[in-house]
Amino acid sequence: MNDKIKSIVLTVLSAVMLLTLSVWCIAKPGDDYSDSERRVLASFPEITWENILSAEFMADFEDYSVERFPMRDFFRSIKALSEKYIFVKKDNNDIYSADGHLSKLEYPLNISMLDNAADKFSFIYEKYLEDKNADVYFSIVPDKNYFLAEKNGYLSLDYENLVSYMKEKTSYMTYIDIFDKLSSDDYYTTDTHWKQENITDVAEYIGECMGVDVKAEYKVNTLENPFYGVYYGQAALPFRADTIKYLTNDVLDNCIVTSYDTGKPEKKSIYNMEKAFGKDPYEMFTEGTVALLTIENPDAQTEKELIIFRDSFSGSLAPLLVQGYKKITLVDIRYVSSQMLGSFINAENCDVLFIYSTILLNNSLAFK
Amino acid sequence: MLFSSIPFLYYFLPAVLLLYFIAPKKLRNAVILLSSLFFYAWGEPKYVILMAVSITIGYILGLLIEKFREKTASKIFLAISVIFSVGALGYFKYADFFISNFNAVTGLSVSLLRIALPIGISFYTFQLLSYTIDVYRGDTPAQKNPITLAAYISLFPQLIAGPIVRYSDVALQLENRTHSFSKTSDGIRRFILGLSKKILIANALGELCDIFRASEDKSVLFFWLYAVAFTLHIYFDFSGYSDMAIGLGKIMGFEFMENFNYPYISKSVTEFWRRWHISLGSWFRDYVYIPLGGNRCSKPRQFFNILVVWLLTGFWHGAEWNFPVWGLYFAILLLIEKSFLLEKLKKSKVISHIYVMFLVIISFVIFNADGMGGAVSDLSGMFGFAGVPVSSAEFVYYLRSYLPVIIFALIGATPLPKKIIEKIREKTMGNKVINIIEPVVCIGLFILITAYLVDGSFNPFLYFRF
Repeated sequence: MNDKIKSIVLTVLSAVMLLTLSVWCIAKPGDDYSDSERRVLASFPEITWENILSAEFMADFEDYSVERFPMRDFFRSIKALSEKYIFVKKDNNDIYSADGHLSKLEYPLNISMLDNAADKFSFIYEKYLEDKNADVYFSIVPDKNYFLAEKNGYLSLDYENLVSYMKEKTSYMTYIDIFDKLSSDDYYTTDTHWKQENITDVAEYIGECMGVDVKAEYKVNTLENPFYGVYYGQAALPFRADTIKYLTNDVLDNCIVTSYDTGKPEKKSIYNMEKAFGKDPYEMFTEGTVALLTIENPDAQTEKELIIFRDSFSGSLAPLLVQGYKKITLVDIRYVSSQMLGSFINAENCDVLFIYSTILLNNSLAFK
Repeated sequence: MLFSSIPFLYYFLPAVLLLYFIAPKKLRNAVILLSSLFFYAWGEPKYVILMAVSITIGYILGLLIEKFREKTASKIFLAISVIFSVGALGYFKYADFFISNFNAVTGLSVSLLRIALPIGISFYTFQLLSYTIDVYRGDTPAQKNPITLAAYISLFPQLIAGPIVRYSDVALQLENRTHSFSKTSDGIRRFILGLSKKILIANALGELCDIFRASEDKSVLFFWLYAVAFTLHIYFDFSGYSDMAIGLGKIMGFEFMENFNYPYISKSVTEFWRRWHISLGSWFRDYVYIPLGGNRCSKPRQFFNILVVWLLTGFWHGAEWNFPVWGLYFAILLLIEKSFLLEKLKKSKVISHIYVMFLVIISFVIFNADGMGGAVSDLSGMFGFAGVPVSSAEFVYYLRSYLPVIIFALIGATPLPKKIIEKIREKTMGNKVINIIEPVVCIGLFILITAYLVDGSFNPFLYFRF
């Protein structure tokens, strides 16, 4: 190819690429919702004089043009692959892959966040639990970075410090250590959560520590649809989907789940199969992210009740504790103010379990 | 509007190029003017008026200076032009700096004006000044067509971050430009190269600098990693922008001056400044240093001239004390080299190169600091006086993570890749192979850049604040 032809080829190729993508951007912008990122994408900004003179329109249009770019996921994958294989970066937007898992860097340890979490727990304890003859327990769920980060050369939280700090701050509760009951295999490869089918031993151990026998036989059911976890979309890397398995038995089938999020109680079953085929299938476990939920066990051989202050990890754990209780109340103080709990919970003679993941303790700003 | 943005690449640029090439030749400057005003208004809708007023005043004063050439009135009109341009720059860029220093010295509490800095004001003001001064000197005739002059001042490829294009350099091109596939493809290649430097290298290094700033796990080595990363970042950011400007200019038929010439291979600070931000250095040389007397005066006066020029160069970059200190730092180094060091540096290429890079790295740490307090704090950190450990977990992690991009940047900052390509091109077969590879690489890079823009959020341009 001589210089002249090269000049023509480069000019024509560039013009074709520029014009094609340009026309595509204008004629058919991308979807409103990103499945991979699980979020609504920016919409075309309103055109008003005020918006234009303040340059707000321009800023919003930039967001719109980026988020609605044609073949967005394809381009995001190209970038992720380039970061990983050309620039050999350890992480892309804080997401890394190691030992067959995708995970997100969680660093550094944020003491002020731990303080915030501990203060909320103390408030709840003093206001609702202290004089109720309740047995109060505390457990921390290690995020999967605990098993992956340090050994693969990634920045890692000082877990030892985190646990000892929280134990010291919550000395009024009995601490249940479940770190050694878990390994990276117990977590989904593309998601932050643990697998229900792998944590029956964790549930049994927690039950044992609380003086309750929760042992049971379960049938393992498998969801047909693939599960692309939260890190899958963020990583934009080609990764095999996970499979969600969920455990059932007669006791669980008979349980009555009541969600209070809509203002009036709504009866549901323990696994929400509608959500299982929704945007985040993990939300099938006890309704996912809801403020207040009860699980009643009509087959219970006990009158004992359990209140769990929890995050999303408990969604799959709570059904495994049902065997030992007549009623479990799940409270998520990210969605309901701890000031208002008096109307919803009565801890008289109850077991109370505070169980939170390290990620949430280290980012506890959402606690109300 | 940023060159490295989806709205620019996939909305603005195709529309402007289409309009430009289908417009009759006599309307092309009008297309440039309107598109440049739109480009500027995208980021600064209100300040378009300021630019329009500056252009109008420059246009009228240019005509008046020419009309009264050789007469006192000509000097007065030039003085008005200088006062207006420098006054506008002083008001918008330095007012709060002077007020806060005045308050600090007198103990008074005069309220700050808190005016937003109009983007690119430092660049287009200098272009306007060069125009009226050149007309005054008789180096160029005044432009009679207001659209042509306005198109020159507002020319979007170099409007907001240079290079500072002299009117006399492009006066003929403004009237008559040629276009060819060869020139267009050169422009496209240069534009894509600049965009790649900015997005693939500069942004990554900028991220590293931001990570360092936010880190609570600093160490001596992390300070040095930051210093090296910023030194490379500023070069790839700014020279990438210049490449894009030069490339876009070429596509539209212009030939802008080169702004960088591998500054990090310099063997003296004097040489560094011949290779770094060439358009700014030559502007100060021609419009400040030489009118002050330049080299053709006594040694003390010459030294004084150098100090003035570098103080102004520092101030031009920003309204904080670390900028004039940065300028004076270079003035002192240049004076030392001029006095005796230059000859000694010729003895060892390796030592002179280490000497230049060490001093340049220090200079950019001062440059990028948050005021003089920040500069002292950063330098203390680098030399172990900040009470931080030698190394830290974050340093090790980010060194591992960013080392490949730093190596790419180090190689890219030298003429080595260019020399290798030239060597291959010397053979007919090699030339043919490069001609096949070049369009593929350019399009591949363009796709990669688009991918980074679609995914990325970190994309500031450093020189926008100047």
